[in-house]
Amino acid sequence: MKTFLQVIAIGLSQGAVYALVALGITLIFRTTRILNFAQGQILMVAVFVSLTLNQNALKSIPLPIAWLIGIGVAVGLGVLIELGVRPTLKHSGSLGWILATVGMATIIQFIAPYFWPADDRLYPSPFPNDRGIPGLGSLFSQRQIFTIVAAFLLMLGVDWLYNKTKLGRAMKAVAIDRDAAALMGISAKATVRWAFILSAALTAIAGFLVAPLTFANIAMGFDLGVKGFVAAVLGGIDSARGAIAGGIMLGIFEAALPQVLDLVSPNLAKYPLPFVFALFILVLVFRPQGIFGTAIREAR
Amino acid sequence: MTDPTQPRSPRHTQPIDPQAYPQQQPPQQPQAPVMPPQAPAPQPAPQPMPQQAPQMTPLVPGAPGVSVSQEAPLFGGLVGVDPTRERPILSVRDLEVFYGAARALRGVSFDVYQGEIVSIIGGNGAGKSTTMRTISGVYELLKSVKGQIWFKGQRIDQMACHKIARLGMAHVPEDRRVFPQSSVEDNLLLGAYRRFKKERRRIRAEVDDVYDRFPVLAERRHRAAGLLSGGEQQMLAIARGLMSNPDFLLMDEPSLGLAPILVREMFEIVNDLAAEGKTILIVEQMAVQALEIADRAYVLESGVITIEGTGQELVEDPRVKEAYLGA
Ligand SMILES: Nc1ncnc2c1ncn2[C@@H]1O[C@H](COP(=O)(O)OP(=O)(O)O)[C@@H](O)[C@H]1O
Ligand SMILES: [Mg+2]
Repeated sequence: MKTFLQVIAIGLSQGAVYALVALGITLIFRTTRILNFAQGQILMVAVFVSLTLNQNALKSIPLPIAWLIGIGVAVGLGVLIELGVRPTLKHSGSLGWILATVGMATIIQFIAPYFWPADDRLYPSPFPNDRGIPGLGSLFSQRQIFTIVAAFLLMLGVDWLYNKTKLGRAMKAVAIDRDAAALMGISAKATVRWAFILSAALTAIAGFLVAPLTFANIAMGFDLGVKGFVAAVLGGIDSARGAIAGGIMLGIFEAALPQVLDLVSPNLAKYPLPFVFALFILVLVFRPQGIFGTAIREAR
Repeated sequence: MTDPTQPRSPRHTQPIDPQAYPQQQPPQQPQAPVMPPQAPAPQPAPQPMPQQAPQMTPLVPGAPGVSVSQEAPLFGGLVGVDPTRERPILSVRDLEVFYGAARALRGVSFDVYQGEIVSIIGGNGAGKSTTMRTISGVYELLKSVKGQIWFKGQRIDQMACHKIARLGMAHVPEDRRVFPQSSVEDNLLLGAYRRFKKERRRIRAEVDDVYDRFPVLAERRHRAAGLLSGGEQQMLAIARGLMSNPDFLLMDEPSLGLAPILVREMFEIVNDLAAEGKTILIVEQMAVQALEIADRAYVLESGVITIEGTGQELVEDPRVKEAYLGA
């Protein structure tokens, strides 16, 4: 029972982060039909910029301000990528965006080691003396709860953005038909720009929430980017609620997997990633629209 | 505003609220670079009444005072209206449009006045849709444009499509361009996009008005627009255009794909809209109704305006009869 609850706790907090990364991916996809392959790298840069500002020998900048600056840098990168893909957006069917986003991911990954060493670093949490939640024993740590609650609020925000705001409507319209959207008075340029900005900010925050739970490492972008992508596709990449469900499912699956594999063979439990991909491929085969893809769209 | 039972023709002589055009001067007064000589804007006051009875006038390039301005001076002279208030809401000057090297429009000039219905008729490939698209600025990548377009006192020929739309122009395109994955209702709400923040409650009420006007759409309100029939999509495209509460409506072959009953209904709606004070530029290939409801009309052939006059004049013109009315 204890293990089960722990699996849920870890699964939920990791899954909430995957969901946030997935939301960042769907924000851009929903507006542009582009997959931003540099999403994880943006996250990593935001984490390391804030970490360096907060923890250095010269002058420590308070965590909230370091976060804000990290978000700012992430948004800057997001806008750079947006500028890179802009020419290809106007010609539907062009695949130039793959080059732009993969190129950006590669460049960031290539440059990062010049700034930051490649080892695991502890990332500061707003709850430095984490003694768990009173009454729950050591089941949930405070930072896990913080991650889950913050991620959940952000998800609500994105869902509200999609369904209730002018920008949300514009995003959907631009994705379906830029020209028709322009006839409605919607600026495709501005809408796409906003999608990249919000996506980068969301991804940076996902990084601030996940780093205290694990470690910060300049390779973390790849791992989280892939898992965010998997979560987005699992849930149905066009919908906010799908991405959230996909993220949480993936988190719990991943947390439960070692326990299950351990029953089979302790060695197997060390390599969970192939099983994540196996799940991913199975879902793609049987539900290419994502597990919640159409169901959620019809419910809207 | 206008009593719909009254004859419609003098509608455009209603004085225009000068406040409506706070911007710089449009091509009203011929400043040399702005106004090419062959198509001066209404320049009414001093001229005597035109000698000829109102009749269609072939547009000879370079001929002075071609009939773009005929009606306005007539009324201006009669009623003594201040000519500066007779400024057209839309002026197209020497419009040339190229698709690559191919020239689809070769110097098209015309005016549309507040509250008018103006029809452009012409055969397949004449350049009607190109004219409409160039005015609303949509599909900007496909074409290059020379000449000038003025709307409400602003030059719009180089303006982005979404900005033109925000000036109060709605274009119901030939290919309808409904958002296929969105519901009928979401399509209508997108039509009201430019007013989304300010007028939420009124938009809700207007969606219901649209459903009264187009009962078919009410039945299908939650259906994805892509699943509607061609005629229903046409209705939706028109309704969506109206949702922006435009002052100026461009309709490209709105009767296309509509059943005959609906065609009549659609033209009635156009008439109502004009009676409400909206200005409408309508393009049709088969032209009877389009000419009947038009205050003024133009014939476009191979990218050039060849005939123009009042709707009535064009209906009676033998050339028009032969080529477009199947007589
Ligand atoms: N996207 C385009 N690319 C190239 N040529 C075009 C394009 N659209 C229209 N044309 C050409 O421009 C001319 C005018 O077309 P169009 O404005 O659609 O005529 P209409 O609406 O009167 O039928 C035609 O010769 C047509 O072949
Ligand atoms: Mg056409």
